[in-house]
Amino acid sequence: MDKDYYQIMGLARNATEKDIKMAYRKLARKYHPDVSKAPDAEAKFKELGEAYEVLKDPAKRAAYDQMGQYARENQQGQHSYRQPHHQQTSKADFASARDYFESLFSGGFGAGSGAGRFQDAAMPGEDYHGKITISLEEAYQGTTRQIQIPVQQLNKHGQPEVTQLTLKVKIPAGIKSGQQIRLAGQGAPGFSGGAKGDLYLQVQVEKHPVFDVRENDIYTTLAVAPWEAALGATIVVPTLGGHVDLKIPAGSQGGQTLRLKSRGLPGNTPGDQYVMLKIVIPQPTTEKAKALYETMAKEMPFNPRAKMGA
Amino acid sequence: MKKSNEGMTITGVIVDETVTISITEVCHKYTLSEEALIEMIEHGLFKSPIAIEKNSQLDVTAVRRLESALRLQRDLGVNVPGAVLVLELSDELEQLRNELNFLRRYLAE
Repeated sequence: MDKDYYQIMGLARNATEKDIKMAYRKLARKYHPDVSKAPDAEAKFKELGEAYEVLKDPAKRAAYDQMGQYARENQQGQHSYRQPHHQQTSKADFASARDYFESLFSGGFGAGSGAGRFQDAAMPGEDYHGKITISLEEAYQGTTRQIQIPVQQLNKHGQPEVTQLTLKVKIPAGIKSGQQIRLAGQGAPGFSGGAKGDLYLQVQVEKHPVFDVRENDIYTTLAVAPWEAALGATIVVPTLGGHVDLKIPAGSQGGQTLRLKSRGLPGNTPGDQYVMLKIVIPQPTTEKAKALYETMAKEMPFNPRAKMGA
Repeated sequence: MKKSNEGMTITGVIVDETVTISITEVCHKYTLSEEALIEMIEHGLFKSPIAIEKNSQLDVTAVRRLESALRLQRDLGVNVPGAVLVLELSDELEQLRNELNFLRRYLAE
């Protein structure tokens, strides 16, 4: 409740209406979740929408200025990025479960929103949408995660009350970043006997220190010694499924890519792992090592810059 | 509401990306006229061409792209070719970023 709308929009307190509009347009382009790849773009965009909703309206702005902060309850759900209905599903509670459950929201964003459900007499409940972040190893092997979802129920006085429900969710192996998993019947309760909605979790796979992922394929860099590249060698390479032996052909160069078939992410057509060779030289730290390099220079005339014509 | 789920393990199902939805259903779901959708298709919104017929189907990736285009139009005030341009440039940027990340890591290691 103590957000500084001016700060969010990068504006001075005495900003003109035109300044506000221009700042909004600029930041909306910057943080739009369909444009920005920053992980917090969605939250930033929402915050921006909230700030603009108040500051663009002279009356609301005056009230906000006067109070120092604006009673945001009056604002909730008015910004157009999300569908306005059903917003009260206690956004504040999600923050407490942030470890497992970055954000849960309904409608609007992502495929399968509840907005287009058929209008039968008995209305099925809304679908919930959330995000979950897992490691690449977990994506490869599958994992079980605990998540907390807010559940609205009646307390003993018959008033609606939001409580946290902890679910253990099994995430199947081979899931890719951006894919969704569905938890049937874990959405909002239906109306007049309608079925419960579903919970959709969009899976985000964390960056890995060793492996890069593209589609089903894994990319990695493999450091090799000059003699391994020159003479050929069998080298133990890490893959998500454990270590495997990779045969480096004699005469390999740095930058060359070798393929480990079917060592990528599992799937109908499992991905491959691509290994890019990087030749690393040992530092000539001893007299003997220096002498060896000198012998090489003498015995193996070689111009690495031949292509430059130098 | 029961608390019977507590401690229970629920197995998630990966949303099948091969599921398709017809053009008519898409229009209904996003309250979009068929003309508007056709215009977007004709501007090259989807990476793989989609025949404009009543029984043409969109897959999950296409539906997500359509949602992005609709949000861009609504939130940033761009028109259809503008939204398609944004999406195409974003794709290219992502590809370049991936490659750059990999090469940076290659050079750093």
